[in-house]
Amino acid sequence: MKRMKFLFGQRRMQVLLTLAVLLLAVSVVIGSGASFTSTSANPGNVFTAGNLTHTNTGAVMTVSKLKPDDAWVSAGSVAITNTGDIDGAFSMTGAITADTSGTGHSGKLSDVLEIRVHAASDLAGVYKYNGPIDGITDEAMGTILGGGSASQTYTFEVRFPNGTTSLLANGGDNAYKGASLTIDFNWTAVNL
Amino acid sequence: MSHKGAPGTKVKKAFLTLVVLALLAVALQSLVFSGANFTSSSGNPGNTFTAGTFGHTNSKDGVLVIDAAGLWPGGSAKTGTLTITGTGDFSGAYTLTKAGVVDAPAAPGLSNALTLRIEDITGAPQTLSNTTVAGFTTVSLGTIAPGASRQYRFTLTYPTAAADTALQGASMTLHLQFTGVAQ
Repeated sequence: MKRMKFLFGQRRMQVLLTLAVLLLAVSVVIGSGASFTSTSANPGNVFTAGNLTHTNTGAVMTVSKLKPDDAWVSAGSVAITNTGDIDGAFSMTGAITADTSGTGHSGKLSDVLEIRVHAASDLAGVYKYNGPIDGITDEAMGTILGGGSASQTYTFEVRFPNGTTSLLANGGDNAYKGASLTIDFNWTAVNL
Repeated sequence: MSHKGAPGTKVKKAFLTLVVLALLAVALQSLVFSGANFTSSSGNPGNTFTAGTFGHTNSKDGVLVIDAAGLWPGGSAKTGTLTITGTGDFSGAYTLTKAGVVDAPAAPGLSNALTLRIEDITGAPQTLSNTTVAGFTTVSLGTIAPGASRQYRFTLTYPTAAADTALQGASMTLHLQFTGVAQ
């Protein structure tokens, strides 16, 4: 009986060893990597940051002898060119640096003057800004593409609205006689 | 003496945990709102917009044009002249308006009897208005350029046909106003 158990034990051991060897062999066959292979490479990939710059060719705008008659008066134009290689979303702010009344009067032009800005690529009658001159906060001026020196020309017009339409009530705008206002236009482009 | 796990130690740990979480939150916010963009800026400084000036001078500003004391029906006319000169940056369209009339007595009113003729006598006399003072309201005086002048004559008559004994001793004060509108 003991012998039978011993033999049985030996045989079980042999079976287990055989199975282990077979498993190892299969594993070697499967994992040997014995295949045809082909390789290639893309070396030296370079990543360079883009460049966002622009030029501004606007001349100083000077409009004198404005009077209250509702007519829009051409003030000048500004050409912005994207000289960088990435697209830029442009915006403009206005900063009033001087706002003085005329001699003997108290009115300030910042209270009445209106301004509108038209981009050359926009349809007639469409304005990037059209409102009071003291309300130019951070106005979107559109996108100018980079990489090709794309340019956009903006024209500026101002007007002094008539304060009254009644002849007998004329004189309501006299407070603004000789008043003067100076404003800086500041442009900013942010990459898209 | 404090021991690990004591209430004081737990409070400290909780406090430190909160501090760390707060710092992480601040750092995360900085990452989110850092505005990390390329920008480019330029400016157009010193743009100046100036209103013009406009006005006129009146050679009889604030004073009488006609002192018509002693008028009677059919009597000689009383006249007065004045000159308007444009000043400032613009030409102006000028009008003359009756700003007010005061009759004493109010009725029948001398203004209903007196005739006022207004002429532009800068060149050849040109009648602009010829009606009773009561009927006059406003008249266009034309355009006057800056620095240019125009002369106007006012003639007041008491037609015989307008005679009314009720007007003996009556008086009238007429206020005229010149207005120019910049063009």
